Amino acid sequence: METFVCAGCGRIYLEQSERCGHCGAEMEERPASGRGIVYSFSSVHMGARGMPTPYLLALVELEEGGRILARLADDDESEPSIGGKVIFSGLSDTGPVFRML
Amino acid sequence: MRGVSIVGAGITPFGVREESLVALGAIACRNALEDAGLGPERIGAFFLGNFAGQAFVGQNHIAPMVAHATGLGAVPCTRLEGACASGGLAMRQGVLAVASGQVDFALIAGVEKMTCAETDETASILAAAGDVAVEASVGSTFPALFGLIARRHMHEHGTTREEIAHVAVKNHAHGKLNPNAHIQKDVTLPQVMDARPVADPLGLFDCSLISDGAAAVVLCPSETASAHHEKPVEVLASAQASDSPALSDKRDITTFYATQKAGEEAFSQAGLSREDVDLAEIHDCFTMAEIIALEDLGFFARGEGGRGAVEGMTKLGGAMPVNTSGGLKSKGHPVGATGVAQIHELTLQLRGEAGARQVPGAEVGLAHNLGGSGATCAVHILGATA
Ligand SMILES: [Zn+2]
Repeated sequence: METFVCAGCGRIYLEQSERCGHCGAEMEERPASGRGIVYSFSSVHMGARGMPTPYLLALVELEEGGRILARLADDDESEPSIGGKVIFSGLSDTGPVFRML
Repeated sequence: MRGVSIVGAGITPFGVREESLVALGAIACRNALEDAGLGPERIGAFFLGNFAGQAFVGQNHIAPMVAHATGLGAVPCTRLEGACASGGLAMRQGVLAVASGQVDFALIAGVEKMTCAETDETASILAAAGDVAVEASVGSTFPALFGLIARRHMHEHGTTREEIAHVAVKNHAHGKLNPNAHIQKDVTLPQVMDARPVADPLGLFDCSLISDGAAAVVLCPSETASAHHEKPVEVLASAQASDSPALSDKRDITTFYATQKAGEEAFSQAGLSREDVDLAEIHDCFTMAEIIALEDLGFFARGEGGRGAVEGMTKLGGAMPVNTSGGLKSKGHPVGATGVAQIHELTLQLRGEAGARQVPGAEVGLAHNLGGSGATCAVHILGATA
């Protein structure tokens, strides 16, 4: 997993860009293991327009530090839990997706 | 800076309203002017809180439209947008305009018309109060953000699902006594706990209402206030603070830094302590948000806010009733109107005019208005005339 971290505000991105979309500062490339833990999660039953429900949202804390909001793959049989281990499984139309370990 | 007082307050009933966005605003404004016994020609500046006129009804630039419909003439009209704190920001700008001596009378209003949109469309419009690039794009909605916050708060501080649900039961019990509330009926604890999930752990009754409505107040210098109302209400503090909206930018999502800062600043301005507050209108966009605000404002220690509704301290008859109006939960949450409607409720209470929900002998009230997931916060403290 490749991450791009803003040198100004510290935001983590999974796609490369010249400058941070939040603050405009320059980005630094940072290799990441793709491993993280669930900081919090919610199963969304009434969602945003055009998004089939339910889906799992999680705030994931990466092993290297920093948090990102992501989808948790819900084709999994295990229940998410705070502190539960997750691994990056790819980028979808709705951003990063993690899978429970 | 001179002291500022409220000499007029007006509101429309909250709920599903037939009137247009602009007409709702104008009705609340006329009610407030009438309450102050002032003609529109006396007003020197108009500040209007509105979040998403364009997105909900296709109309922007509504401050001069509401002003024209109210007969304010050529006065400077300014619309404030700070998500769900838009009304609180309008109030603060009005206070500053009068306190600085720039104008002698300021009219403040807040308005939103939301019920014309479908629920999922509304969820998407409201999601734009968060950081769209990293939140809405992933499928997060406001209930989802507060679901994440609630689950973390339960995990870190031991707050229980039942404590969170008690906030809804309490606020509905209060709203039942408010003839302007959107929903004037009780809900039971099992109803809240077993309601259809929206973004777990939060269910349907943990979420505030999608409403139409408007509220307005008239401000003038305290030194002349008694000439315009027999019971002027003094603005003892007007504070505002900011933070990043994105949950991923926050070190701790179980607290809102902007509320802490605005609260500290407000108590310092007023020279009062937490024990001096007789009642509060707290931004309960979600049940969990009321609990966090009670902690952030210093009324309860971290992790103890859930006790308020369960043990009755924040109920009518308790030590510091919270959301006697019914709050956003039961009175309703026309986003841009909310911050001004909180001021309206405190004004009634501090005049002793709140009817069945009156807090006996109320002298000091606090209004807490939060924008989005905590990026903007306005806190006002009001005092009754001695
Ligand atoms: Zn940045």
